[in-house]
Amino acid sequence: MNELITFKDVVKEYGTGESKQIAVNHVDFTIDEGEFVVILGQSGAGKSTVLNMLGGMDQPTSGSIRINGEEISTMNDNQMSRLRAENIGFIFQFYNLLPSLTAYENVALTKEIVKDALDPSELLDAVGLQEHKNKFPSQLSGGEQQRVSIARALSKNPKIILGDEPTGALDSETGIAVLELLQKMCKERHKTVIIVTHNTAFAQCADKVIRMRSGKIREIKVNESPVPVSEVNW
Amino acid sequence: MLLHKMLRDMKWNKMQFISIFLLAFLGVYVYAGVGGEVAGIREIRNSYNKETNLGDAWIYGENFTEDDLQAVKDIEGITDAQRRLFLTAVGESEQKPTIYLYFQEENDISKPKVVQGEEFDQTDSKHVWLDKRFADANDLTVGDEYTFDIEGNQLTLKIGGIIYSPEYTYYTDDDAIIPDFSKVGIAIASYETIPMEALGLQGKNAENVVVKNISEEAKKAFIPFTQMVITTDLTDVGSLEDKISEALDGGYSYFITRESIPGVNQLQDEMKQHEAMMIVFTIAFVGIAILAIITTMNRLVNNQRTQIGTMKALGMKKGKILRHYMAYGFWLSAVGAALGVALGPVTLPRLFIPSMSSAYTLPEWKGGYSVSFFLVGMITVVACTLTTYLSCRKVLAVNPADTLKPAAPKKGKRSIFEKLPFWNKLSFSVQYNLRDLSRSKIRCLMGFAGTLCCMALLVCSASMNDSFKNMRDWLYEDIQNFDNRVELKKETTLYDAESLSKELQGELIMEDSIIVKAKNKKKILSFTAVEGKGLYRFTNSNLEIDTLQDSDFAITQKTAEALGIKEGDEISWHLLDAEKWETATVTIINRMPMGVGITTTRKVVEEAGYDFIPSYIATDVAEDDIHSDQIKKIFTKKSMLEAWDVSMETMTIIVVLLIVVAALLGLLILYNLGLLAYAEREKELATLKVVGFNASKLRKMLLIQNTWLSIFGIIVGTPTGLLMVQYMVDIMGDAFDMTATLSIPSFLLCSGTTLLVSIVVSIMFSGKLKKLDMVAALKGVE
Repeated sequence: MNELITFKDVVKEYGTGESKQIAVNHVDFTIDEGEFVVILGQSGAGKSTVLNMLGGMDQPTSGSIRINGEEISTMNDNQMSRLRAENIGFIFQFYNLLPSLTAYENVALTKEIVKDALDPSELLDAVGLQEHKNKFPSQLSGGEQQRVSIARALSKNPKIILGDEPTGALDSETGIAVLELLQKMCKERHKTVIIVTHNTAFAQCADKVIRMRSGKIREIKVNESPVPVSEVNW
Repeated sequence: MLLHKMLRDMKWNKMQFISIFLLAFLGVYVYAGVGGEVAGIREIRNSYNKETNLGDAWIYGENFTEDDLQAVKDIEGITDAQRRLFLTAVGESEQKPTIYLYFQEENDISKPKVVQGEEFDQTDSKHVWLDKRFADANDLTVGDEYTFDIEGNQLTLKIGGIIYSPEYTYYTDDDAIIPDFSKVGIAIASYETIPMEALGLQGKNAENVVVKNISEEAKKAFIPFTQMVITTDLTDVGSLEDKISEALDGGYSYFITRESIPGVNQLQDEMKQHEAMMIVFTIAFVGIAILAIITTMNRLVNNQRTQIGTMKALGMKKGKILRHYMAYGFWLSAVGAALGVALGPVTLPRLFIPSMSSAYTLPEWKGGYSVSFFLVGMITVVACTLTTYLSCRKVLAVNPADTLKPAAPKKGKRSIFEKLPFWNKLSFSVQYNLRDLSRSKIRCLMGFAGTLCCMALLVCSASMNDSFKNMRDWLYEDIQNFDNRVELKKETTLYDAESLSKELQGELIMEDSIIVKAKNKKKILSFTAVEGKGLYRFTNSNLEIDTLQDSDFAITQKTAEALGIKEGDEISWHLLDAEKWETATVTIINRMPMGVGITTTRKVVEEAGYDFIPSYIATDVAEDDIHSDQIKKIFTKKSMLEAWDVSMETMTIIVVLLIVVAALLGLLILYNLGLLAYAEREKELATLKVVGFNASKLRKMLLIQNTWLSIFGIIVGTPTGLLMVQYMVDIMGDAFDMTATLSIPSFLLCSGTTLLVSIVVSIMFSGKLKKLDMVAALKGVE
C-alpha cells in the first residue's frame, strides 16, 4: 500500500521558558492509504495534539509532517484551509454540528467549499439517517448527531478521516454502531481513518495501533488480522 | 474576591464594557452639557431679569398721557407702569447704523444694566446711555459725544454710560438676519433730552398756540409717549389686555407680553431647541447602552454558568451573586454618569457659547447646573443596573446542580425566512445568516439600533445642512426673485419712489407690522405689500411659485393653522400703528421659510385707506448702476446670502458635532456587536474552519450580516433622522417653516459612511478570523 502520511521527528511545545510543556516529543510514524489506525493513550499522552497537527489545525514546533508527499508543517492559513477542505474529514467527540442547520444542511455545507462534494441525501442514507435529514441537531440523539458528523466528514470525499474520541460522548451500544460505520466506510470507500481514543478495546479492530505516553510513542503495532467491530469484546 | 473577579471580567471583555461605559457617559454628558448651557443661560437671564426688573408686558400706542398711565397703574394686578418714547434714529458713522432710541420718563422697569460710567439718570438732560456691543463695535466710550439723526434733525449727547438692555438679548438691523453690532445699537436717554422743537413738539396748547418757556412739568404733557411698560404679579399676563383696553378706552395699538418680544423670545426658542436636541441624544445613547448591557451581560453570565454553579455550590447566597453581577452594570453606568455630570456642564457650554454670544447679547455667559442632570444620571444608573439584573436573573434562577452541567444546546428551529418560496435557492451564507438573525434577536436588534442611530444622526446633520440651504434658496430665489434690495429713506415720497422704481425696472415693496383678528384670536404679524410685478413672489401650500394680484391677501400656513383659518375666510386687520379694523378675505394660504404674516398687494393697502409707503425697491439692476439720493442703503443678494451663512454658524457646529458622534457611535456599537457575534459564534466559526472554510470566506459570511443590518439601519435611519430635524424645527415655533429634506448626494454620503463604518468593523475582525484557534475553540464541552 502507498504511504500517505509521514510524521518525522515531530515536536510540539507549548509556552516558553519555565512554563514550557512538551506535548509531542520527537514522534515518528507512517500511515498507509486505506488503513484504519487507532492512536491510543491516556489523557495528556499527546494523541490529540498529533491528530490536530495532522488535520492542519495546529502546527509542529519542529519536525516534518507530510501528507501525500506534501509538507504541511510550513503551510500558511489559506493552504491549510485548502488542505482541510480537500483531504481531511473531521469527527469530534462532541460532534460540533452547526445548531442552526438541519442534518441535511450540515452535510450539504461542504458544497460551499468543495466542487465535487458527494450527495448529502445518499450519505445520510448510508449512515442510516434518511428519515431524520430535516431535523436540527437538538432534535437528534448523540449517536445520530455523530452519524451526521461522519456523513459531513465523508461528503468532501476526503482521503483521510480523523476522529477525536468519536465515541467518547456516546453510550457503548451507540459507540459500537458509530465505530462500525467508520470501519465500513474505511473498507468500502477506501478512506484512511485515524481515531484517537483511550479505549484499548479499539485496538482489536485497527490495522495499525500507535500507543503514546507522555508525548512519546511507546509502540507501533500492525494488526495482521483485525476483527470486525461487531466481533470485538467490549 | 468578587471585586477581583469583576475587575478581571471587565479587563477580559474590555471592549464591551468600555462601550457600555462610554454610552452611559455620552448620554449623561450630552444631557448635562447642553443642559448646562441652557441652565447657565437661563440662570443668567433670570438674574438679569430680576436685577433690571424686566417688564412683563408692553402697550404700544400714539400718545400716552399722564392719565392713561395712571389708569393703567390703577388696574388690579398691575404693580407698576412707566412711559417712554421710542424712535428709530440713524447713527453718525458712515455705515449709518440704525439706533433704537428710547426716551424714558422713569427708571423702574426694564432698567438698563450699566457696565461702565454713571448709573442711568432719567432726569439727566445731557447724556445718553449706549449699549455695549454697539459702543465696542464703534469704539465709543464714556465721555464721547454722539450725534443721532432723528428724521433729519440732529441730536448730540454725551455718552454717560455703557449698558446692556434686558429687552434686547437678540436684535438686528431691520433688514439683517444676524446682528452686525456696528450697524445696530440701542440708546437710552432721559425724556429731558428730547429735542422738542426739532420734532415739531414745541409746546402748543389745546388752542394750538405755541407756548414759550414751558415748565418741565408742562413739557412732559407735550411728549408723545409711544410705549408703556408694565409689571404685574399675575401669572396670566395676557389676561390683562381686556382690562387695559377698558382703562385706555381702546386708545392703544397693541399689547404684547414678554413671550412675544423678539429680543426676549428668540433666545428662549433657541434654548428650547437645544433642550429638544439633548433629550433626543440622551435617549438614543442610554437606549443603546441598555441594549449593550443586555447583550454583554447575557453572554457573560451564560459563559459563567459553571462559575455561578460553583459559587452556589460553595454556599454563596443567590442575592450575593446577583449583587455581584448587578455591580457590573451599576459601576460602569455610575462612573460614566458621574463623569458625564461632572464634565458636561464644564466643557460643552464652552463649545456653544462663542457662536451663541455672537448672535445674542447677555451681560455674561457661563454654563450652569440643574438638579435634572443628577436625576438623569441617576435614572441612567438605575436603568443600567435594572437591565443587568434582568439579563442575569434567568441564569441565576437555575439550581446549582444544573448550572454545573453544560447548558442544553441552542435549539435549532425553523426561522420564518424558511417559508420564503426561494429559500432553497439561497446560498449557504445567506441561509446561515438569516437563521442566525432569527436566533440572536437581541444582538441583531442592537446591530440594527447601532446602524440606525449612526445613520439617523448622519441624516440629521446632512438634512439640517440641506434644509437650511433649501430654505435659503426658497427665500432668496423662489420668493425674493431679485438681485438687489434698495432701501429707501424714510422721507422719500411715493412719487420719488415710483419714478426710481420705474428707472430700475423694479417693484415697490412695503413692509410693516400688522395685527390680525380671527375667531377671537389676535396676532401681531409681519406685513408685506407688493405690486405684483413678479420680483417678490410667494409660494403656495404646495410650494408652487406664483405672484400676488389684485386683491390677493395671503396668510402664512402656520399662522392660518394657529388661527384656524382657511382660504375664503374673512379676517380683521389693521396696521400696527393704526386703530381702525379692516376686513379682508384670505385668498391664499402661502408658505414662507422665515417670518410669519400677511402678504398682500398695494391695491389692498390703498383701498383700506392706508398710504402705500414703500420700504424698498426690488430690482435686478446692478448695484453700481443704482444712483439716487433717496437711497438709504442697498442690500445685494450676495451680501444677504453671506449674512445667512454666518447666521448658520451655530448650526455648523451642531452638524459637525453630530457627524463625529454618529461615526463614533456607529463604530463603537458595531465593533462591540462584532465582538459579541464573534464570541457567540466562535465555536461554529472554528467548526467551519476545520471543515475547510478559509478566513476570507468566513469574513464574507460575517460581512453579509453586518451589511444587511446596515441596510436596514439606513432604511429606517433615514426617516428617523428627518423626523429628528422636523421635531427640532417644529419646536422653534411658528417663525420657521421648514420641511426636513435630504438631497440624493447627501443620502448617498450618509449611507456610504454608515456602510463604510460597518465594513471597517468587519475588516477589523478579519485578523481575528485568521488567528482563530480551532483547537482551543473546539476543546471541551459546550
